Formats: sequence, C-alpha cells, structure tokens
Amino acid sequence: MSAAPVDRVTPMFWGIFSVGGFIVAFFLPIFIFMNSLAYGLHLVRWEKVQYQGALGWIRGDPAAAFLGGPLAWLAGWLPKLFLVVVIGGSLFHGLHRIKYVLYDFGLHKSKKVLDPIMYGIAAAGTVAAVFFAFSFP
Amino acid sequence: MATATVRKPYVRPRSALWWTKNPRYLLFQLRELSGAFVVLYAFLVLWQLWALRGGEDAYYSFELLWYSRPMMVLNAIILGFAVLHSITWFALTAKVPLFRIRGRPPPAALVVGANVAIWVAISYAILRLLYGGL
Repeated sequence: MSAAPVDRVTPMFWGIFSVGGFIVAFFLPIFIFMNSLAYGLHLVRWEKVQYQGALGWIRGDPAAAFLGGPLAWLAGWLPKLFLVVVIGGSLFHGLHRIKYVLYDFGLHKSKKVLDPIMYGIAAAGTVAAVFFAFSFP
Repeated sequence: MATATVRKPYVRPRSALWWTKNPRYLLFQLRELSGAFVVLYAFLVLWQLWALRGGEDAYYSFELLWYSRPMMVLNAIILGFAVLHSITWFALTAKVPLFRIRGRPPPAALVVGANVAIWVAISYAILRLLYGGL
C-alpha cells in the first residue's frame, strides 16, 4: 500500500497568507492613511499629492531627503518595493481569506476551481504591481 | 481478508447564516471580511498607478474622484477594516508562542503589546522615511 501523496501546495499558500498577514497588519493602515485620507483631512499640502508630487514620491524624493549621503541610492527603490510588497501581500493574504469565506458559504466542494482563480488573481495583481511600480523612472 | 468499506460520513446541516447567531461568530466573519477590503484596496492602488502612468490630466481626473466625499468614506471604511485586521492579527500571533518564559508561553497581553509597539514604530518609520513626515 502506497502512502497518500503529501500535499505541499496548501501549506505553501498558508505560509504566504501568514507573511501577507504581517505585511498587511504592519504596513497597510499607515499607507491607506497617507495615500487616501491625509490630504482630504488637510494634513498634507496639495503639492505633495498632485501629479508632480506623486511622481516625486514614487521616485523616492522624500526618502532621498531623509536618507541623504551614501544611502541615497536606496531612495529610488524603497517606494517601488514598498508598493509591490504591500499590493502583493494584500492580494495573497486577502484572497486566501476570501477563499475560506466562500468555503464557509458552501463552496468547499469547489476547491479545484477556486484555488486557481484566487491565487491566479493574486499572482496577476502582483505582476501588475511590479510592472507599474518599476515603469516610473 | 479485508473488504472495501464504504464511507458515508454524516455532514451536519448548517445554515448559510450561521455566523449571525453569535457575536463571536460575527466578529470572526467581520475579520474574514477584512480580506475583501484589503484586496479591494490593492486594486484601487493599481488603478491609481494606472492613472499616474496616464500623465498629468489623467491623474488629475483620478484625484478629483479619489478625494471626493464617497471615496473618502469608502477609504475610511477600508482603513477601519485594515485596523481590525492588525488588531486581530496581533491577537492571533499571541496564540502561537515562539518562545517560553520560565517554561511557560509568554502572556497574550505581552505579545499583543509588543506587536502594537512594533506597529507604531514601523508606521512612524514609514511616515518619516517614505513621506518625509506630515
């Protein structure tokens, strides 16, 4: 009698879910606040959020001003990596959760269909994030 | 000689609205629902990047919408769910002890408190480093 095949895929997605959980918990609230609400609440100036300001943010201008000197080369990478990590972590974490909510609502028999859809959307969104973030100079 | 057995497991019937029956179940489903808002926000940011790539006029149209009252309300709701995720996630990590103090797992309050302290420190670091402060 042969042993049942070991499922290596499910634990991997639980692992990504867990890493994503920490990324979302630590990074997302401040990002939502600064990216969506701070200007509307009159906490930052229009110059910081309009087109040139947004381009400057993604270029790493504030980071360069903060780091300065020998670490300035890092500044251009930080906002882009931050975007990719936050978007990718959010998608893999959130879609994993949604999958199990759908199981709870009675779709647990559709694992074979749901898995590729959910993780496929997450992977596509992460690739899009890499492409978009690094398309800026 | 063993014969093949036929399994016919009993599946307990469950209402699709089981999670409305108890506040604990409701908090559980709200926490799980935070996943949907987190995913929604990821797509909103992708849309934002798309608009930013479109040039100055495209991004201006985007921002008129982004800072409109309904979008501000939606983004505030998303932030609420993100904070709910953070707090419930820290409570969850307390259930998986990574180390022991005098043979016992660390108290939950200590783990949650440490996580909140790290959360505040990281948020402040992002605010200063990536945004140059307020």
